[in-house]
Amino acid sequence: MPDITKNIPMDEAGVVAGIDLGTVFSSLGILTDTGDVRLIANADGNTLTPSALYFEDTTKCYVGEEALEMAHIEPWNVVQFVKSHMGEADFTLEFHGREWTPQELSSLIIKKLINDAELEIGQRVRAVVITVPASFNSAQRLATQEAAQLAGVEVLEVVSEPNAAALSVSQPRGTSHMVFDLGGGTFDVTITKRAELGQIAVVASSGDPNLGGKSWDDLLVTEVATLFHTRTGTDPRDTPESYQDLHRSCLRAKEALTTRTMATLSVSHEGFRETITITRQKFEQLSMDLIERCLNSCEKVLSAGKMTWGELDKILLVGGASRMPMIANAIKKLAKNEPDLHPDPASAVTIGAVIVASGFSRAANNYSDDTVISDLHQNIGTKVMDATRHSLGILVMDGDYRERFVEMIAPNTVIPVEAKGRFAYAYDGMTSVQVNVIERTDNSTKSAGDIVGTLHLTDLPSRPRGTPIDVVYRYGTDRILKVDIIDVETGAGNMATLNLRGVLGDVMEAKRADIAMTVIG
Amino acid sequence: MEHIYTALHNTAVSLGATDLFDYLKLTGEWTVNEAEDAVAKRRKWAQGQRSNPKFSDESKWFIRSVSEITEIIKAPATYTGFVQSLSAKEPNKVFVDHYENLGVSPSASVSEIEQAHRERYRETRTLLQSEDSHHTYRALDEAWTVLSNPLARSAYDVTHRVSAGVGLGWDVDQGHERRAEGFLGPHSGPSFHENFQFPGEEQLRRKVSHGPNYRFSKSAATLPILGTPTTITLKVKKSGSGQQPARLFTDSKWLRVSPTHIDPSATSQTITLTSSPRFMTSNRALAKLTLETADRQRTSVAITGKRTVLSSISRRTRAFIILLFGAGLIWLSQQTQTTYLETQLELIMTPEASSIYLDGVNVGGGSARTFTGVPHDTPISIVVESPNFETWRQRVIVTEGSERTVEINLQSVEQ
Repeated sequence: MPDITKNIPMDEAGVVAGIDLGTVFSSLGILTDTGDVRLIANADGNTLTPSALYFEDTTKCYVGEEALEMAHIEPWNVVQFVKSHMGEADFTLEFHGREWTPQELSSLIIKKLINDAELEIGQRVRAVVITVPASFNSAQRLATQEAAQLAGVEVLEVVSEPNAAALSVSQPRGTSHMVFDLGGGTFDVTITKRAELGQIAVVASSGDPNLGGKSWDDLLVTEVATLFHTRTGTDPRDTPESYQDLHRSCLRAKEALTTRTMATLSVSHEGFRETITITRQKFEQLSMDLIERCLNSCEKVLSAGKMTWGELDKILLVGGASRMPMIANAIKKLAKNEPDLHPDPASAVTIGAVIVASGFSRAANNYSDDTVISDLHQNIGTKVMDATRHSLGILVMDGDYRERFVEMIAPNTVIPVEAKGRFAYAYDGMTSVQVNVIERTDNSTKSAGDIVGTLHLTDLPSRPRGTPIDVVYRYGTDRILKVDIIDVETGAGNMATLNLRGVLGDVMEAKRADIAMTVIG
Repeated sequence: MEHIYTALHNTAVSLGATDLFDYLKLTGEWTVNEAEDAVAKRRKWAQGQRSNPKFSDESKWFIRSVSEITEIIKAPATYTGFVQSLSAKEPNKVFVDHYENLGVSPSASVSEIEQAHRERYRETRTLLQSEDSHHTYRALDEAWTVLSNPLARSAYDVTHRVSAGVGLGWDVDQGHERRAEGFLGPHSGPSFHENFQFPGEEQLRRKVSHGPNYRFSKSAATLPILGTPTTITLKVKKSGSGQQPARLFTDSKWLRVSPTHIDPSATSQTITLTSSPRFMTSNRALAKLTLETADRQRTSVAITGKRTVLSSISRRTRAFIILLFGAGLIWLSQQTQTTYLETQLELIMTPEASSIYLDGVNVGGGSARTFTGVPHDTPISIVVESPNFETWRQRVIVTEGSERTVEINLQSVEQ
């Protein structure tokens, strides 16, 4: 049930909104007076705004279609796919002499969505629910949260995209759904189960953080460029301008291939112009590896949830890229069951985000039953019992002083979760202990995982090897890990919130002022 | 700073440049301002090509490295010194063969590498601990870090592997064009062919045209795999009358060659190759013996290991359990000597055990026992009961090609 304490007093007027901050497209929605979800059209009249930015000068930035239009004229001043760098501390892009972090760039997209929405509905957007891929780790989630804060709105909750998508359809009690969310840049697959009316539990979750519609675009780009190269001896990918043109043609071809069996592109580069035809059959043949990766994740999530295809009541396809017929066909072949394509696959996540946001809004809870016209309304206030995606653990030494990863919280554990482990002094006479917190992600470069935080307990009395120390991990629904270290004998303790890399902290206010000064077109 | 230089330099080389400055198209005399302009220009290019599948790895690398590269161009002398020391060091460089460490072929795909890494890690983890395992983990992690990243991998391939006659790990249509750029492209400049020893195709190309005037007697050689170090001999023949010095080296740490330098005056000489028993883990490693002349021309011979099919060459697993008087300690050292077919487990216990249980079956007691036909790669539970001491219990997984030691501290039971 919604948290009443989060309700804002009446004098702070404004609506709450749900935002899907996507790799390729972003969108925003609100709940209408009749209890329906309304996706807000941007200034161009589309509910989907391309997640693209164009910096005209130091203070003027265009977001959306206009930015894409500039991509083949000034590619270096246009940025797309910024989501794939969220949470990266050392990644900045430079436009007209100013360095921009992924958070700041994302905040400009959020600001654009909110500006357009406020203009359209004539009310202030005071708070948002924002979605992230289920595969995002703590640093990436915090970076997304920061992006929204930089844009000047309160963040009610950061929700995993497949969980939001699950709330965009009605799910009868006792049923299990598989949410297959193939977005522009990320792929998530989650099994949800509605145990009771007000609650949906995430049974298991998996996916591929580098798989999405963009992967299919890249296939087409590579194929077309190779064909062009064999005919003309030049490669249109070699200059940024021609590449952008090629990419746009390939996007159109990909769109066309969802309904037609053949698409024709006209490509020009270095004075050559070629007409290239791609058949759907060829496209599907090229995509076999990508499809395989999708299906592998599905199998993985089924085995993690100890389920079979037959036990699923619904396979829900969401995300713009799942409109490609080959996706449904491949799943049908494997599952022996027809998957359900969401009526609005590209907006399913936004709709879910709105449903979650409405749970925080007083207005949404004030409808009497007869005003409810949307069957989605039953999902408002539904609690999603989320599960951990990554394994969280601790780096300790074994009896031979070798480093070992000890898992404290297993993947697919329902959160909030608390785990306690008892460890011991590794050396005689130690007076402080250090806890290295490890997060083992799907794409960790090291098998042992990455150290995401370090915590110390100091000023302990000198005692022999083997003196016990307790470590408690608390992982909340906000996906932030709190760690406690307790000295068992003295009761001395130290509690810390994991200090993640890439968090702005003190400089937030300064950055926010900076973002506020940027004019959004 | 050196590791930053190494990473940047190797990547620049893998992208077809002679060094970082060449990558930025800075040739001849240049000022810091010019260099900064070059970095800014390249960064613009990278921002424009970041989402282009052909250049996305390179673009992201450049964007992430801008601050380091900017530091380097402000103080170019240190970097130039590093590059010079690198080329001076090159001939004696010890090659770490990441492919061999993971047990994959140099043409393996990323998913194969990932799988191999996972398997090898699991193998190492399930084995009993020894001093060696720490190094194994490190070697595996290092191999994975390098080979999982396409940029790092191609950099590694260029600097380490082409000498073994292996192509670049780069995506095919990217790699060819990019390397072609490196040789023929307009930005390479005349300095390229004169000064830089591109450790790879340059040599291979030269070899095609004339090559060193030394020849191995065979183009490939096979080493039998035995429990003890094995040696084979090869002959090197010289054609012509030139007296050019040359050195011999292998790319495998398990294969040693002696002598390491060719006697330039002899027309034919015998060299000996010695392999450690671990040279061939599961029959998949392949080593290369290379002869390099002073002017960097190379010829090489492939060395493969061969399993001896006789079942008598069986895997022997020996376990010692030694009871130390008074201290109440039990030591177990288990050594796996050779590979294959049948596992033999030896337990040596002092004083003798009252009973031994293998997978729950009582096989009697004694001070020295040998068991044959013990399954490997599956856990075997071993329980040893000795009078007056705690019962020793351990689940042991015996896998191929390992040498493991474990120490177990046990308390004596008070009488």
